[in-house]
Amino acid sequence: MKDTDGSAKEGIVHKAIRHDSAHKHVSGAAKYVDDIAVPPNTLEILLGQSKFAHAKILSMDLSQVENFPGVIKVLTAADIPGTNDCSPFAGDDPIFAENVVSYLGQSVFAVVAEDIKTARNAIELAEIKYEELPAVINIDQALETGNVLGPPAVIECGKVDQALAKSKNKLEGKIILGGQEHFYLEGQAAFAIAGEDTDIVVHCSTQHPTEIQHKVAMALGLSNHDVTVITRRMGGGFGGKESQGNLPAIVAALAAKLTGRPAKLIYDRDDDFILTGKRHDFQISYKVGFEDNGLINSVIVDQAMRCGMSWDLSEAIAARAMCHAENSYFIKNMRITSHRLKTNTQSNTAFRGFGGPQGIVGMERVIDHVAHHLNVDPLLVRERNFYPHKTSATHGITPYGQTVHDCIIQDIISELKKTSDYADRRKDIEKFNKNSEFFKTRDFSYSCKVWDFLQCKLFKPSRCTATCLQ
Amino acid sequence: MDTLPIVGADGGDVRNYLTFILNGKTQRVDNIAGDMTLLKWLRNQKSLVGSKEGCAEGDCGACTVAIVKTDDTGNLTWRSVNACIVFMGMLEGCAVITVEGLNGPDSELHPCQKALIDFHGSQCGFCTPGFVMSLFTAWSNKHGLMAEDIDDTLAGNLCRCTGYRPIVEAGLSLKNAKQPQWELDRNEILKKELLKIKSSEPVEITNGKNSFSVPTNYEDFSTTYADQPSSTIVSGATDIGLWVTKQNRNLSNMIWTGRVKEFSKIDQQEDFIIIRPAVTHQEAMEKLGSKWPTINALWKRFGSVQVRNSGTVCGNLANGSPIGDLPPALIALGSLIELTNRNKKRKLPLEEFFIEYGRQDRHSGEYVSGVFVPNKSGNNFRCYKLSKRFDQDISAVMMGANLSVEKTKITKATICFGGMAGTPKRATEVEKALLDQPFEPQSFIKASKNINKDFDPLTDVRGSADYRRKAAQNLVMKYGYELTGSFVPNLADRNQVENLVS
Ligand SMILES: Cc1cc2nc3c(=O)[nH]c(=O)nc-3n(C[C@H](O)[C@H](O)[C@H](O)COP(=O)(O)OP(=O)(O)OC[C@H]3O[C@@H](n4cnc5c(N)ncnc54)[C@H](O)[C@@H]3O)c2cc1C
Ligand code: FES
Ligand code: FES
Repeated sequence: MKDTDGSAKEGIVHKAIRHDSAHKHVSGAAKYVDDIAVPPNTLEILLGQSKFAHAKILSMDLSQVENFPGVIKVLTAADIPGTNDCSPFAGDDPIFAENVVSYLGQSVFAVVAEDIKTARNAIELAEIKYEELPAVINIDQALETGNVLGPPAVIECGKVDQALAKSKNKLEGKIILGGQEHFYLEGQAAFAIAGEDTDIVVHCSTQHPTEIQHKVAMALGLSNHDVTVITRRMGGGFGGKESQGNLPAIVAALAAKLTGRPAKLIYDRDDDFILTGKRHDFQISYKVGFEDNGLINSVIVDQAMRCGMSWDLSEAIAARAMCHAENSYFIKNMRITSHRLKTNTQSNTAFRGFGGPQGIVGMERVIDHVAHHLNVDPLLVRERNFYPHKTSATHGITPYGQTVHDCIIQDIISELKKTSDYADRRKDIEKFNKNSEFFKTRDFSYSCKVWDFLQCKLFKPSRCTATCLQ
Repeated sequence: MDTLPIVGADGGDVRNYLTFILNGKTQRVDNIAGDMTLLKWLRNQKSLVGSKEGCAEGDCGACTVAIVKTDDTGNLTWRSVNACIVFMGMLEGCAVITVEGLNGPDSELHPCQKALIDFHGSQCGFCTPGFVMSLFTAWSNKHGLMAEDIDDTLAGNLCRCTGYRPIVEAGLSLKNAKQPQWELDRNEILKKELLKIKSSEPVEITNGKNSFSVPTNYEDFSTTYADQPSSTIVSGATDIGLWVTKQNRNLSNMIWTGRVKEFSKIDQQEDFIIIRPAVTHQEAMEKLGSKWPTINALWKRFGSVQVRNSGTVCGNLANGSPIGDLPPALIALGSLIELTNRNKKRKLPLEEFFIEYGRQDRHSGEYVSGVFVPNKSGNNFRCYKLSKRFDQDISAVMMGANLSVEKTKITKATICFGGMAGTPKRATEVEKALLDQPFEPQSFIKASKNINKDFDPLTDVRGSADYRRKAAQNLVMKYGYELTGSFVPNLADRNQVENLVS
């Protein structure tokens, strides 16, 4: 990495510097929440999870669980002194489900026991009667039944329908993007110790200690200053510990508060998979109008995203997907509609890229579809539609109204074409594929991405970059 | 209390405590649940929290530790294993080294640890102790740090942050590094300490609820099991470990094959290679891999080094899984399975052992005492594994195939599939369609259609019924092309793939 004047500057940026914990990582001395030496009277917690995706809770008899030897306490919504909510802001994520369960595996109660084995044995004895309700699981079902968290959000620029109608060529299509599990190598983990008066200390593997502090205080009916959150380090997060750490932290704090004993809640990997939200899966449908030379006149794109049973961070993620929907291309007429779908599944959450990747993939698909239709190298279509270079007389404007002053993607692509030997390699690959009956080599292409560095709501400057994929 | 009555080989008592070495210190462990895992014990009883729990099911490698033994010639052998699915009783007579036990005098870091620091091989660091231990076992075995095998060495360790390149580079940098003198000295001491705790006494540990028996000879094992057929036979525990950690099953009596001296052998008879119950995948692979490169390639994709170091060949048959990798291959080779009840033995063709999903031809008190693999099975034997990931994944479809050709005609065909039915099952209609046909691709293309007559597969997370049918047909065709000399790249061979695309 060189500075703009071409000279490497003094400082830390250009040096290979060891991770400041590396010597502890390699010797096993780096401590994560579950590694903290705990007092011998520490209790372990297991969440009792819903057995249905959507159901009314008719009755709940936890007496046998409570009476199981080694069980110290069973927690339900009734035990929460403050607010029964662990959502980041919308107030729609109960700590323990009351009356209705909204996804398979939702937390309904918690067993606080001398050790986790006891809790696992005891939890089997819970008797909960449910009345199953119709469940909306996937995107198609949610679209069909109109199950949404809020009305569609729309960004529009230009004269979309007219430009589409006037285009020489029109195509429409759809791309389905799956979800993704964070699989932070260390599962969700929290350990709470009640102190003097109303004090409580929570050690927690979280990307958002402040939010944990606020949510623990709200749930326990305390003031923020009563709650100290300590996060030494995390064993990975990737967005999955932005809001999803709230639940275990609150339950551990609640258990510690109510029993007076330290309490620990570590999700087993299976529970972690089932309880926590993931990357949003998307269905992106589009209509595109374009000329024979690949110039795109108009794009209509509908982003249907599966948000799960509550908002969590879906509103901001949807916004980011929308603000990346045109990617690095200047589309003068564009309508982007986001459908934030409510489903009876885990509440999907932040994940590296925060909606941006989904938005980008949608547009890259449009480009490929156009290129395929015109039977040309997709890179030609990409180049034809890039935002104007920063040196051009006129700049492009994003669908959300920002002028793109600093576009340099043309420079990046031309350098990459040279250094990657693009043209020759593509020829080789084509030849190979033609002559090989069964085995086709992977293709070789570029995919571009624009990245909005600031929260898209603010519509602040964007940069154009490109990645070379083989 | 309902524990196994075991009589020791010498008629004496069974020892009721374990002896093993942990990071250089001899341990005596008694009064412990038979289903206690090594990882739990290390973390909870010994406060050695460097080994992490990332999954508790053998997948992620964060709990990797080294198990050290001496071989017949007195040299040390090193195995990386997943501590989350190793039961304590399996440590009798071994040495265990955890990440905390690596460094030298004055806390000098071990070369494997230094390499990971120097190459920036850690970010969150949660996976790092496991990677250190996988590199350390390869380093100690002086095998597995070259470009062609470093991926295998590390395939059982997941890292979600760093990306594998710096970790691989760290590993490769070790191939020329010198073992420090303190490590050589330490290993000499370890050899002596291992000799000291060597014994042939049977052991049984229990906490009064769950027991774990470690018999040492074949008669004891057979009698004990026949006397108490409700107990659970444990071999590598790569399945059973998960019953405990994932299914919360209560196993009151367990009996381990691993220390029975007759069970650890691979015998060569004239017509058969005999694999006994305690032979691990890794050992079998090292012995048989060179004979059949195709099964060697399959074994490389079986779990990971850690799983192969624990799991056994016989366990892979005894568990009756319809998606086990070895049954289709071993059936294609015409293998026999041997079952023993006390001193009564019987043998049957392996395919007949699998009756239906969850049911095998194994009577109460009987156990799998060996698998007999014909020595002379020919050059036409192939196996193919299809799974979503290259390493450490369960097959969606698995095919083992073998055939004989006389003049230009196919005279015998054995085609067996996993993942296509409730058991590993032969494609008899495909086999029939191949018989007496000319040995050319067209015969295989035609015969492949019969997959639809042979199988009505399931749809599950690994593949839809349609995918499975289509993939199975394609494998039959691929087999035909490959045998008759068409160019079919072997996608399991990284070098071939790299040559193709470069
Ligand atoms: C991470 C991971 C990856 C894996 N990958 C693969 C893979 O790629 N392919 C694959 O096929 N499998 C895979 N497995 C499954 C498993 O490792 C194998 O099936 C293995 O061979 C089982 O052997 P074991 O010795 O560990 O069996 P154990 O767990 O000890 O026992 C398995 C079953 O067999 C019984 N048993 C064991 N030995 C005998 C005997 N001698 N007589 C009678 N009964 C006996 C046990 O009672 C038990 O019911 C994987 C497992 C894990 C955890
Ligand atoms: S904890 Fe993942 S392999 Fe043991
Ligand atoms: S460094 Fe985080 S998982 Fe490897």
